Amino acid sequence: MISKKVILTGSFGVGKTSLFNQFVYSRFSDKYLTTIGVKVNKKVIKVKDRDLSILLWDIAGEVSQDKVPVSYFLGASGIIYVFDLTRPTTHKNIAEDIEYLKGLLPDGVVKIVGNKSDLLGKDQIEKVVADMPLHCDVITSAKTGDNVEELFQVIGSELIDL
Amino acid sequence: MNGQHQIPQDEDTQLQVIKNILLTGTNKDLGEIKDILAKKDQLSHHIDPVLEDKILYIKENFDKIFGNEVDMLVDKRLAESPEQLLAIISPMLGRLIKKYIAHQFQMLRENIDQNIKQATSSQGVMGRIKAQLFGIKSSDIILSNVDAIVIKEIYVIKRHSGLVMGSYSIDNTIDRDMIGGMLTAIKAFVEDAITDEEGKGEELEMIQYGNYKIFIQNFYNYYIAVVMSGTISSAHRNDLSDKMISFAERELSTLSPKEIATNDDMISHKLKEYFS
Ligand SMILES: Nc1nc2c(ncn2[C@@H]2O[C@H](COP(=O)(O)OP(=O)(O)OP(=O)(O)O)[C@@H](O)[C@H]2O)c(=O)[nH]1
Ligand SMILES: [Mg+2]
Repeated sequence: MISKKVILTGSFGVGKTSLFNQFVYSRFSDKYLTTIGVKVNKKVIKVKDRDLSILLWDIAGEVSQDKVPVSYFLGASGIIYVFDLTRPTTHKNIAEDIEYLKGLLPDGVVKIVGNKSDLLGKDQIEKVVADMPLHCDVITSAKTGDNVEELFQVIGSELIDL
Repeated sequence: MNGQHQIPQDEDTQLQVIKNILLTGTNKDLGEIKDILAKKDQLSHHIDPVLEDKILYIKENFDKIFGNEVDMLVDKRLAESPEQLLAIISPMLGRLIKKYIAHQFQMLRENIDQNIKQATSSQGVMGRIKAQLFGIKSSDIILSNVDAIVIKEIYVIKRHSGLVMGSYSIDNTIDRDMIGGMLTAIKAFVEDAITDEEGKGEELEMIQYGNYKIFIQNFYNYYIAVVMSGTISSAHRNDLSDKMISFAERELSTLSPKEIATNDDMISHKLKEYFS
């Protein structure tokens, strides 16, 4: 079976662990327990009729990506950059962050994810996304599970042929 | 007008007088300078060796001559800003102490290993009797016996991604991909957290929990992790390390990184052959 390392990153409190838990265990909690260090989990998904094992690294959020230990990113095939749709500070560094990450993993797949969509109306979300300097790939809610499967399908379908 | 300076009438004499007035002083000065220079040259011939001797002497006897002053200066500095000096000295001290303790421990271990070897070999029968006479329980001696050691699992793990390239387990109870990922994450976390001068470039080599130990042997593209239970002496640790290195040399070094990454079954089989 093909295995790939994928890392969830972004600022703190944006919902990385929640996405991780929703994706792996289909569960959500309102409690905020900040992640310390790294947690690794695995889920096998079906992509293009093939099995893909995703080793998902959930790391402690940092306001700026260059604060994350570089070794966490090494060997990763995919990066999911999560920001909080309701907190502008979580995407104010997005351009620098993404450029930095692409520099670290030139061959990696990078996806930008706006999370907590359940807290905003459709119009509000559109406005937030339109004002950003980069294209947002997927809008998710770790709470309702909206688009979470889809996010991993999107990244999985690019990773499987890498 | 008597007594008055007679100004010579002809031009040549006049010029000569002006020349004399203008140049006599200078000539004299020049001469003096030349003299001094010559003398200096001569002097330095004499003085330089003496000076060099003196400098050498000061160099060699610095602490005798200036020791007091330096001590006083250090005392003063220490009193003024103890942190600064401590900051300079403590890593050095720490390293020295660590080295010393590690060395002492190594000696102690080797001693114990040696004693056990003697006590358990046929020539060591006398030793065993002695031990009993002196009240050392044989269980103490047998404590670090080899039998208790069990290799539970072995993994060959890709260095940064943590993807498992081959594994062997006696009871297959845990998801090996999770182990590979978590071990790699822990390694990365620890190695990143310790970035002071001493820790830089060091790699995690062992994790211990209860009776379990995970030994890690690091290679360039991957690392081998062995999960063991039992009492493990430094000699065993050493043997194991040798074994991991020779396994890597024999079975893995001939494969390209790509081959290593795609020959899971073959590597797993070899691990079983080699370590069980
Ligand atoms: N309403 C709503 N709340 C969410 C969502 N995702 C996460 N949260 C909440 O946001 C808070 C932070 O979520 P976490 O998943 O712990 O955030 P994190 O990115 O892992 O944070 P760090 O580990 O500190 O970097 C928690 O209280 C979650 O319940 C979401 O989609 N909708
Ligand atoms: Mg978290």
